[in-house]
Amino acid sequence: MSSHGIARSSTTVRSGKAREADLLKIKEYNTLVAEVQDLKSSNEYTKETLTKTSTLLSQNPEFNTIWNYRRRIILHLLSLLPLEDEKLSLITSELRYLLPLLQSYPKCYWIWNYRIFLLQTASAQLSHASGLKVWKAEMSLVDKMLGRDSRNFHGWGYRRYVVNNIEGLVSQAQKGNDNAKGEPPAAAAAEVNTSGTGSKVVKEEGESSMVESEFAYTSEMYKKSLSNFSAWHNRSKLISRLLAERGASKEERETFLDGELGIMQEALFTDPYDQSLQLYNHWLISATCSPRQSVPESEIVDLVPSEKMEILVRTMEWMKELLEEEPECRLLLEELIFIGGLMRGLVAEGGLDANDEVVVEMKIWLEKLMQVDPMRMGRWKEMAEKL
Amino acid sequence: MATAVTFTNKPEELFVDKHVKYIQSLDTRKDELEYWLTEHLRLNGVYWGLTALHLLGRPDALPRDETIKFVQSCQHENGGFGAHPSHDAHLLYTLSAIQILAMIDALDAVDTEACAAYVAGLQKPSGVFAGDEWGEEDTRFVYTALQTLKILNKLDRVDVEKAVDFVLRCQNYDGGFGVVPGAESHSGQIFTCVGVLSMTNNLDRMTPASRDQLAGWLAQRQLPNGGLNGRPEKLEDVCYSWWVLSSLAMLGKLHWIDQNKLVGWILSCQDEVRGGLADRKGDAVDVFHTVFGLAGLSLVGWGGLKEVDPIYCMPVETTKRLFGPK
Repeated sequence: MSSHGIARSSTTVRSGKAREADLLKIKEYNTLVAEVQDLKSSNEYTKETLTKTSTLLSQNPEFNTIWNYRRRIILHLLSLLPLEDEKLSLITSELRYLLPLLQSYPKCYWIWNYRIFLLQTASAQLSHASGLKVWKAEMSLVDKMLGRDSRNFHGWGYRRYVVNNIEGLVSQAQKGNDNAKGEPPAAAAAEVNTSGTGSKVVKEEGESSMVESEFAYTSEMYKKSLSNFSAWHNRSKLISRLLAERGASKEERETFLDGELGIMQEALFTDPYDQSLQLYNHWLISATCSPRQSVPESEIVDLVPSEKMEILVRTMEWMKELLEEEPECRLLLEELIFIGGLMRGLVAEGGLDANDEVVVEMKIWLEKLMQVDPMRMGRWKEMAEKL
Repeated sequence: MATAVTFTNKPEELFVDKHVKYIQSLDTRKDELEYWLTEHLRLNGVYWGLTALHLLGRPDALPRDETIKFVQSCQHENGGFGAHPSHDAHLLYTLSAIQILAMIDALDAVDTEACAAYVAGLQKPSGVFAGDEWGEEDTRFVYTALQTLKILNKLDRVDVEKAVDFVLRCQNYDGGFGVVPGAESHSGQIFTCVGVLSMTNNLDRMTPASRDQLAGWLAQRQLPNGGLNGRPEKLEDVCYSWWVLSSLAMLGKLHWIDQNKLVGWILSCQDEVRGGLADRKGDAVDVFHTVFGLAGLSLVGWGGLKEVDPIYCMPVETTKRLFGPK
C-alpha cells in the first residue's frame, strides 16, 4: 500500500498456478493471524504465545498491534521471573531475536520502537549495572547498522537516543541516586575522584559524557564518505557541548573553528557540488560570522566584527579561486552571495570600512546563478530585488 | 513575487479515469497477499484513496455508507482508532479516521468527545505527543494530534503553546525540522512541523531568516529531472512532491522551484495502463504515492484537479467548510 523502489511488473494477469499458490499463502497467513488475534483477545501471555507472535512478525514486521501484544507478553513473563539473571536473559534473548529483522527491515519503525521498549524495560526492571550493560551493548548494533547504511535515519536517531540514555545512567550512578533497588551506590567511591578536578568525572563505569567519542565517530564517518550529511549534522549538534566540556578558551575555540573550516575548504575542492559539505560549511560561517543582532551568542566562538570579517574575506578568497575552476557551480555561487551579504551586514553594524566591490560581484554571481540554475529562478529573482 | 506558471504538459496526460478505477479496485484485491499484509494501513489507505478521489473530482466513487461503517468499526473504547477493527489504536489512524469523516461530512457518526480525550491523553509534559500508549514521541504525532483536534474544534483540550515550543526546538541550522530535538532535518518531518505552526498561526515564531533558509533548503530538493528528494544527496520520490511542495506553499515560496518540470516528472510516474502513481518512473504503484502525486499536481494548480489545502492535505472545499475561508 506504500512501497518504495519495487519494479512494476509487466503483466496484469497471474497464471492460474501462481494465483493458486498466492491463495494458499493467504490462507496460511490468515489462519496464523486469526490464531494470534484469538490468543490476544483471551489475554494469553505465555512462552508459546511469544513464539506464535515471532512467527507472525517474521512474516509481517509492520503489524504493530502484534508488537504491542508481544510487549504485554514480555512484561507478564518478566513479572513471573524472580531472579535478576533470568530477567536479563529474557530481555537479551528478545534483543537477539530482533537482529535479523532489523537487518532485513532497517526502516521499519515498529521494530525500532519495540527495541527501545526492551531497553526501557531493562532500565526499569534490572539493577543499574545490568541495565547499563544492556544499553552499552547497543552501541555495537548501531555501529553495524550505520556501517551497512550510513544515512539510515532510524540508525542515527537511535544512536543519539542510546548515547543520551547511557550518559544519563552513568551520571545517575555518579550522583549516587541508585538506591531505589537497594543496591550499594556504585558512585560513592567515584565521588572522591571528582573532588578538586571539577570538569572531569572519572570512575569505574567510565566518563558520563560520550561527547568526545561521538565527535570522533562523526570524523570516522565523514572520512568514509564526505557527502554523509547525517554525520555532519550530528557533528554540528555535538560541538557546543564538546567545547564547553573541554573548557576551551577563546583561542582554543578559534583554533577549533579554523580546523573545521580547513576541512571544509579541502573537501569542497574535492567536490564543490556536494550539498552536505556546503550546508555544514554554511553553518560554520553563519554560526560564527553573522552580524551580532542575528546570532546573539555563538555555539562555537564569539568573535569581534574584525575577526569575523577576516574569516569571511579568507573564505571568499578560496571560494573565488574554486569558482574559477568550477564557474557553473550553483552551490558555490549561492554561498559566495551569502558571504557577501554577511560582509555587508557587518559593515552596516558599524566600525568597518565599506567594500563596494562586493556588491558589484554579488550582482555578477547572481546573474550567473540565474543562468546555471533556472529551476530556482523565482528565488534568485527575489534575491535580486533585495540586492 | 510569484508569477503564473506556464505548464507544457496537457491535462489529458493525467489518466483520471484509470486512477479512479485503480483506487476503486483496492478493496477487491483480496486474492493478493499484499492486501492482507497491509491491513495495518487500511484506514490510512481509505483516507489516501478518498482524498485522491476528491481531488480527481470523483468524491462519490467510494460508497459513503460503507466507508462510515468501516470507520466506526475502527474506534476503540478509549476513543482512539485502529487501522482495522482488530488493530490497536494509534494517532496515525485516529487522524485518518477523522479526516475521512470530515471529507464526507459525517463527523457525528463517531464519539468525537472520546476521540478528543484519547488524543489529549497522549500529550507529554514537554509538549510533544506520543503515538499511542507505548510512548513513541515524534513531531509527526504533534501534527496528527493537533489536526485531529482542530477538525473536531477541540484544540482547547491540549496545551497548544507547549506543543508549538516543542516543534520549534526541533528546528536545525539548515532551517529544517527533525523527529525530535537534535534529529536531522527530513522533508516529511518539515511538513508536519510547518503544518503545526501554520494551523496554529505560529509561522511567525520562525525568524524571517530561518524561514528563507528553510525554503532555500526545500528548493534544493529539486533534482535536475524535476523530481524532489527528501534529504540532501538522496533519490527523488513522488511522496516528496507533497512533503516538500506543501511546506513551500505554507511558506509562500512555491515559485522557488520549477513547477512545470515537477509536473512532467510526476506525470511520468503514472501507470498509464492500470492507473495509480509510483514512487518513481517504472516502479509498482500504490495508493500512498497516488494521492501525494495528485496532491502535488493540485497544489501547483495543474490540470483541473480540485484544490488541495497544503496544511491539512484535504480538499480546500472541506477545510473551508470546517474552518471558514482563509
